[in-house]
Amino acid sequence: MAAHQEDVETLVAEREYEAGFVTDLESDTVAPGLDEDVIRFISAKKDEPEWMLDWRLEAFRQWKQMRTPKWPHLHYKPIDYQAISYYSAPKSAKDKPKSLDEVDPKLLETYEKLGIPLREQEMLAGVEGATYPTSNSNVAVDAVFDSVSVATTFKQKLADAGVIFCSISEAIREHPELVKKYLGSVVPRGDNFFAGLNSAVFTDGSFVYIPKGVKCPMELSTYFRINAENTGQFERTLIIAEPGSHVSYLEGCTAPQRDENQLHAAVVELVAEEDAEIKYSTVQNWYPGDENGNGGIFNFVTKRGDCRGDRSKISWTQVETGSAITWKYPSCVLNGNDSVGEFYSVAVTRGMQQADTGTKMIHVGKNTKSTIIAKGISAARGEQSYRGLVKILPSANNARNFTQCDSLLIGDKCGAHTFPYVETKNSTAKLEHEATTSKIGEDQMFYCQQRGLSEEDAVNLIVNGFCKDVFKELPMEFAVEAQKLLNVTLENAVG
Amino acid sequence: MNDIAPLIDHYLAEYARIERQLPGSDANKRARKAALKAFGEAGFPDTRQEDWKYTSLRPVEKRRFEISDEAGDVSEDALAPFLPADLDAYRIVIVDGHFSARLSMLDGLPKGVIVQSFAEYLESDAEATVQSEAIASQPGSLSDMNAAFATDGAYVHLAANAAADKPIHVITVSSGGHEERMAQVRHRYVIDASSQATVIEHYVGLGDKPYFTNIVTEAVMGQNAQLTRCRVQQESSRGYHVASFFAHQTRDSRVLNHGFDLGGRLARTDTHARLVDPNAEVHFYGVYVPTGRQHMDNHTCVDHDTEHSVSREIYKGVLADYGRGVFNGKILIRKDAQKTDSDLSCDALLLSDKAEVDAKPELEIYADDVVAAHGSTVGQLDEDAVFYLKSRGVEDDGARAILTYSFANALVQKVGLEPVERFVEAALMSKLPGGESYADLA
Repeated sequence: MAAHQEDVETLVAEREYEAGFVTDLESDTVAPGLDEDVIRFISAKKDEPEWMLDWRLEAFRQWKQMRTPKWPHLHYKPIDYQAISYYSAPKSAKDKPKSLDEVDPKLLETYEKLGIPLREQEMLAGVEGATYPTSNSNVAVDAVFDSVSVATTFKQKLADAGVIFCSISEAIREHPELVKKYLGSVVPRGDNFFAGLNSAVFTDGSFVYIPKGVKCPMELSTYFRINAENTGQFERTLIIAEPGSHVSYLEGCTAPQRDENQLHAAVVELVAEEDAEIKYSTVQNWYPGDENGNGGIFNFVTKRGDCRGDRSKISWTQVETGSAITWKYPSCVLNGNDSVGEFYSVAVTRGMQQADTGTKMIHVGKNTKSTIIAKGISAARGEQSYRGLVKILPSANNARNFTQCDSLLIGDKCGAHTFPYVETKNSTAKLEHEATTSKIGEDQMFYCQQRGLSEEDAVNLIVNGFCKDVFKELPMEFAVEAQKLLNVTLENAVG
Repeated sequence: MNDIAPLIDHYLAEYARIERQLPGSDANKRARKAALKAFGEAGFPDTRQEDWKYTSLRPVEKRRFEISDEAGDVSEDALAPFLPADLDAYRIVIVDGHFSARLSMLDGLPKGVIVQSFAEYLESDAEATVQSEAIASQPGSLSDMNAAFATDGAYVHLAANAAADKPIHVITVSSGGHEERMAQVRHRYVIDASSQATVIEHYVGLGDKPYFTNIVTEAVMGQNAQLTRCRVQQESSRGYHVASFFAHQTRDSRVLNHGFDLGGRLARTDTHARLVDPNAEVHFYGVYVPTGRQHMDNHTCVDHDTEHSVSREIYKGVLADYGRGVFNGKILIRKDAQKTDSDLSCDALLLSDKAEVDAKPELEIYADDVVAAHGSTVGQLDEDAVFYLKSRGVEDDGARAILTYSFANALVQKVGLEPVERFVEAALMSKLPGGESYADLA
């Protein structure tokens, strides 16, 4: 591997961010700083009812009492929360476009530059030469540009099935009873520092409601992009699956190149009632900063799913290749009896990227099961930590957990760490945890190369094999993209 | 938290009271004062600290412990139950933090082997320091507390190429004669190049009054030296026991550390090894058996500082009644520690619904050409196996005790000192319901 290591350094330095460009788009941005007036401004801007403003203000009051968590294995300069602008909306989005034709062409241009995953989706949907998915496509896209959701496709088809898929601001106006009931019920305002901040200033996000017994007719997808300089993006997503319903939700991210760090603190809440199933998949490819660690997205995300009903299931799948800092622990609270929680993750750190990610599985109900498969790949000077908690409460009879976290190290300057917490308060619980750390085996490389594969192809092959357990959990559209993303990443990381 | 200041004041006053009695040179006094200051500033660890997340020292903080001025009256007979049958060993006994010449047996030590009281060592050797210079970093405010207060302990020194012909049995006794006493004991083993020793570090509590023992054990390993350390903790049910072990390992040295936590109301053990040269090897094996309302916390850290070192770690917990077990094992592989080979596993057997175990096997890795693996399991007895034994005429309790013992047995067998293995077997079995009648079966 000695030859590799040299190449890693030179090639990583050459790597440039694929999606690094700035779309010149007029933004309606509030001056940096955070106080109650800013929150009132955001709330007023979004035509929110009084109760929502009160909810935000209460969150802000709680947040002011909180301190930034110090426990993650991450190193970054303290963030000045008063130097961030908390609202930025594309100007042309003021008059909500009814269809994609009305969307700012520059926005569409942005998507086109990205190429993926829309192209992939088109390809998979059989749309040849199409510039944007049409009704033939089987993926509904709720595009989030900076902070405001500007276009929601396939609304009609979803409405026919009784599914509500809209921006959270719209949901606050149109479906206040649902939002009131569920917002903050999984991730309370005071849950943690970043969730508190999000609760106070969240600008937009997605809202999904799947009625009783409905299997959502298509994959739901949303884009997150961070566009205007110095603006944080605070997304709030709420997905409610009523008894017997089923939904698969995709989230893909990419961001323009920036020199300054950008803060992202999202909150995602999932509620699964009896027999409901939610599958939440993420591909995250935000700007990771340059090779010296300048710029890049700070990604502090709170994601939690509540398996409220018996036999409900929540499955998280994530492919994390971007961001300078990732702080993210998609979790499942298994309240219902026989409920199931799953977590599949591939995280890649290279350059100066740092990731502290993992999951929490809280077993409350009887016969609850959870599976955790986490694969970490660390290259160049990347630092990666798996931090997970499996907690079995006294009520969780016959709970079962299987955890596997493997790390792959590429280069001798990177780090891979594992912090798995296991807390068991029930004697009928069965838990297994396995972790390994290794580099790509020289014999594996040799085998592939003597079969005629180039060094790079060999690495790709081995790494993709390493991640296979996770990729197979992704919906088709994402699996293709994720694999491509990983190849692109490693193309530049390993000679 | 308002009572923190008076609590620290109490220990500052206690230090002032005993300062004149503390062994060691003036330089040592200054080092002790510095350690006291560090302890005073940090106070007792609390559960907001990551390392103490699951273990609260509130019961210790609530009391005002005092240093005993002299060893309590402990008879040979009182000690007899804690002496493994047929164990031929040198014996050094520390009672209430003071060396007891009467109970110790140190005659006939071979050439090159010194076993003496730590206080005596501090007084006799002008170069002696309370804290070993080889082990500069001893994290934790309780280590500082110990450095400040340490009254006595065992000092074992093996000169180069020496071998102790018999194991050394270090017994630390709390006589329990008085309310709220504390013992601050420091043991040091200096095992010079190519020498070899086996130490049985035994903690015994006799009375029924609450007490606090704070132990620091240092092992300074020369090249190619080997130390087998077998720690048997049998504090009494009112004992609060906190112990730290620091090993400093140079080239080709080997440390085999066996821990058996059986007693105490609360026992917290920190076991550290730092491997600074290639080909050093460390093994940590531990069994903890909290029953009743016992709380047992094991923290380990293996610090692979350089290339080609090896670590093996297995911890097994058996938890019954309201027992609470905590295990945190950390393997740190630093940047230069290529070719490190490490393995860690921790298993827990939950025998009761009220018992709880919290485990965290950590890996922190900064080098790429390494093998690091860890595994962790939590489970219960296999009901089929219980049924099988019952069908063979063993009653339910007994069947469970036998199976439980077989779970821990693999680690007991690793000690390699038969009298100690049998002693631990019996002590362990007698803690399990229905186990007494099978104490000699295993």
